Amino acid sequence: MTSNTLLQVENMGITFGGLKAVQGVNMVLQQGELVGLIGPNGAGKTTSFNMLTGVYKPTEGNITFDGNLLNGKQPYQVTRSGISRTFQNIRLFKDLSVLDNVKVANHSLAKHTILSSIFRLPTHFSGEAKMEQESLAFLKIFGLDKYKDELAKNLPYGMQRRLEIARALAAKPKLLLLDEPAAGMNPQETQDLMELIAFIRKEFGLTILLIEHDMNLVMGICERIYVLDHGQLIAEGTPLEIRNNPKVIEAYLGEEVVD
Amino acid sequence: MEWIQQLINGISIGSIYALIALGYTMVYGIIKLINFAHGDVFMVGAFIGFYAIAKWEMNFFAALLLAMMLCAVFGVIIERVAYKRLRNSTRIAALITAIGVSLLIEYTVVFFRGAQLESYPKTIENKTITILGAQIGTHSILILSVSIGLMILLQFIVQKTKIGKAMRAVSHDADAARLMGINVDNTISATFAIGSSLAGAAGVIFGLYYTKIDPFMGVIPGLKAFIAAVLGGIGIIPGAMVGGMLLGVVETVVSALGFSLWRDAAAFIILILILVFKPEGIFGKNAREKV
Amino acid sequence: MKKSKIFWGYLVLALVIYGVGQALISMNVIDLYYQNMLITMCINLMLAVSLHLVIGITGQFSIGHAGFLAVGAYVSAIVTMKLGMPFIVAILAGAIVAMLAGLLVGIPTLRLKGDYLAIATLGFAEIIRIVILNIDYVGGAAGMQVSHMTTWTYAFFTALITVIVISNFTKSRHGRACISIREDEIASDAMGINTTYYKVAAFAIGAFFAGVAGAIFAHNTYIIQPASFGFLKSFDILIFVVLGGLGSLSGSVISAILLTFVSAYLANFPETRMIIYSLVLILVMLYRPTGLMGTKEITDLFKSKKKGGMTHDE
Repeated sequence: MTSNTLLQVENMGITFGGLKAVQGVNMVLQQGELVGLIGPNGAGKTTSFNMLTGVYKPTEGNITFDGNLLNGKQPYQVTRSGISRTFQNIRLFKDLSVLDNVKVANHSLAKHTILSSIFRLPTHFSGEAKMEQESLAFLKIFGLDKYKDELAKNLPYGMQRRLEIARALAAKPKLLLLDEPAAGMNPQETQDLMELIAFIRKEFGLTILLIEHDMNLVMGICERIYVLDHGQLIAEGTPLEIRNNPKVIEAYLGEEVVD
Repeated sequence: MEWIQQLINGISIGSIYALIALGYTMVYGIIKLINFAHGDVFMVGAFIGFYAIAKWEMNFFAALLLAMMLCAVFGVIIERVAYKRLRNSTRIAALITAIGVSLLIEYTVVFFRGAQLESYPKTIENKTITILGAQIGTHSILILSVSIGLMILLQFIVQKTKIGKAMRAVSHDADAARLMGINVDNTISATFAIGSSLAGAAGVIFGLYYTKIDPFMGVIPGLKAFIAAVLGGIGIIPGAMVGGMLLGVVETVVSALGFSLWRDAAAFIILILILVFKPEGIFGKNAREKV
Repeated sequence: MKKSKIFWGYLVLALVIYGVGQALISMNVIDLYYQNMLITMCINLMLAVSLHLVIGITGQFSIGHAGFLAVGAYVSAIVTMKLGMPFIVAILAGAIVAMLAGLLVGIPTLRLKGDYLAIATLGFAEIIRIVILNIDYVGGAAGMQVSHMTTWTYAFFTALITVIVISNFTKSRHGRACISIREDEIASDAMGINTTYYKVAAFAIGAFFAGVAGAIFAHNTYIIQPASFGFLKSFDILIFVVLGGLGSLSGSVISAILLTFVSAYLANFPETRMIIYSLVLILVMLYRPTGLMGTKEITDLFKSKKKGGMTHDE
C-alpha cells in the first residue's frame, strides 16, 4: 500500500444464503483517480458498492480506506470516514425541499446538540446558519439554487440525478461512488453530466469510482476500468485495453447493449 | 403424570391459536398485511356458533360448519370492501385500515347486542378420561382432533389443489403469477375465505372450551395468534401450527408454575425476544431489503 | 429576525388563549364539565404531538403510546400520593421515568421495520400494563386513588411546552435527520446520519411527553386503573395523528382538539363514538391517506398562496 493509495480492497466477497454473489474482488484506488466499474447486469456491481459503503457486510476480505479498516462499520460511520455515494434508483428524501436534502448530508458539519436546538441556544442558530450557507453553496455549483424550496419529488428527472450528486458531495467525501449516474439521461444530459463530474473532481480533489452502462461515458472519462462478471473481476486496465480484452467482449456477448 | 395433562391442555389451547394464526400467516404471505381484523372474524365465528347451537338448535358439528362458511363469506367481504383498494398504498395505511376494520366489527357487534358476556351452551358434555394415569378432558381431545383435522385439510388444499398452487404462486410473486394467467384477485379472496373459515372454526371451539364469549374476545387471542405466526415464521403455514402449539404450551406452563396473572405477558415477552433475536421466526429465511 | 418574530407572535396568541380560558374559569362562566373538557383537550394534544414526533416525523410506526402514558400516570401518582411531594416534581418524575421506559423499549425494537415495529410496541405497552396490574403497591386491577391537582394552568402550560419543544426539535438538523429516516432510511444512513440514535432519540422524547400527559391525566381523575391504558387508548392517540396528517404538527393539534369535542359529545354513546372513529379511520385511509393536512403545516397554507402569486409574476 503506497502513501497515495486511498482505497484498497482485498479478496472482498459476500454470500447470500449459500450463493456467492461476489467473490475475490481486489481493487486499488489511488488518490485523485477516476475509475469505472462495469459489467453485465447482475454481475455484482451494486452489491460491491453496498459492501464498500457498509450496507452489506462482506463475508470475506478486507476493505482499507485512508489507512483504516472499514470492515464491520455501519453505513453512517463509513460516510463520516469519507466515502459517500449516489443510488442507482434515485433515493432522495422526496418530501423534503431541495435545500433540506443537502442539509441532511451536511448534518455533521454543525455540532449543536439536541438540547441546544430545543432551547434555541446561540449554538443552534450559528450551527444552522453555517449549514444553510454551505448547502446553498453546493446547490449553486449544481445549478440547483433556484429550486431550493421545491420538494425533491417535484424536480425533473435529470435534476434529481444532479441533486443526488450534490447531496453526496455535501457529506464531504474523499471518495465518491456514483451508481449509474447517467441512467435514463438523454445524450445531451449525459454530456453535461460528464463535464460536471470532471469539474467536481477537480474542484473538490475527489477520487471517484463509478458504475455505468453508458460506454461513451465510461470510456470518455475514466482513467482505469474494472470489469466484473458473475461476481468476479475478469479484467482491469485502461479504456483502450478493456475495449480490446477478449474476456470482456465475451462477457458482454449475448447482451445487446455494448455501446 | 400431571405434566402430560398440562402438556395436552397446552396443546389444545395452542391449537386454537394455531387455527387463528394460519389465517394471519396466509394473508401476510400473500399481501403482506397484518390483518388486525382477523381476531374479530374469530369472535364473529364464536357468536355464529353460539346462535346456531342455542337459538337454532343445531348440533356442534353443524354449527361449526355454518360458522366456517359464514366467516369465509365475511372474510371475503372485508377483503373486497376495505383491503382491495389498498394494494398499492403504504404499509402503514394498510395497517391503520386493518385496525379500523377491527374496531368497526367489535363496536358494531356491541351496538347491536351490547358488550355483555354470553354463556356457551353445553352441547357436548366434558367427561374426564384417564389415559396412562393422566386425567384428560374429552373437550381437549375434541378440540385437538378438530384442529388437526382442519390443518391436514388445509395442507391438502395448499399443496395439492389448483387454488392452493395459485395461492403459493401469488405469495411468491404476484406479478409473475398474473402473467402466468392466474387470477390474482380471486386467489387473494380465496386466501381470505380459507383463513377466515379457520378463524370461525377456532371461535366455535373456543366457545365450547372456555364457555364464555363476548365482543372483545378476539383481541387477545388474535394478538397471541399473530405472535404464534411470527414465532413460527410469518408466511409459513407449518410455522403457524408449530408456533401456536408452542405458545399454548408455554402459557400453560407459566400458569402451572403459579404465575397465571403473568400468562398474557409471557406471549408478548416471547414476541419481543423473537423479534429482536430471530425476526424471521423458527422456520423463516432471512430476507434483506434490496438497495 | 423574521422567524423569531413569528415565534413571539405565536407565544402571545397562546398566552391570550390561556388568559381567556383562565378568566372564563375564574369568573365561573364555564362549569366543571367544560373545564374538564379543556384539560382533556390539552392532554390529548400532548399525546398527539408526542406521537406525531415518532410516527409523523421519524416514520416509526409505534402503536403502544398508551404504555408511556401509563408509566407517567403511575409514577407521578406515586410521587404525590405515596411520597407526598409537590405536583411539579411528580410531572417531571413521571416524564423522566416514561422516557427511560421509552429508551428501554426503543433500543431493542427500533431495529425492526414497519409492521414488526408496530406489533413490538403494542406488545411492550401490554407488558407495561400487565406489570402494573401485578404490582399491589399501586393497587393492581382495582387501581390507585389520586388527588385532583391538575388545573387549567398546569394543563395548558405543559401542552404549550410540549408543542414548543417538539416544534423546535423538528426545525433543526436533528429534526431533518429524523425526517430523512422517514423518507428513506437507507439513504439517510448513507448520508452519515446515525439512524439508530435519532430513532431512539425521537422515541424517548415522545415517551417523555406522553409521561407528562400521564401525570396531568392521573391528577385530573380520582382513580387510575390499568384498564384505562390498554391498546384502545393507544389507538385513540393513533387516530389523532393519522387524521391530522402524518407529518403535520398543526394537523395533530387540530385533530386532537376536534376529536376531543366529538368524543365529549358522544360520551354517552361510546359504541357510536367508536363506530364513527373506526369508519373515519378507514375512509381517511382509503380516500385521503395523507390525513387532513398531509405533511403540511397550517402556516404553509398561507405561504403557498403568496408564493403561488410570486411565481406567476416571474
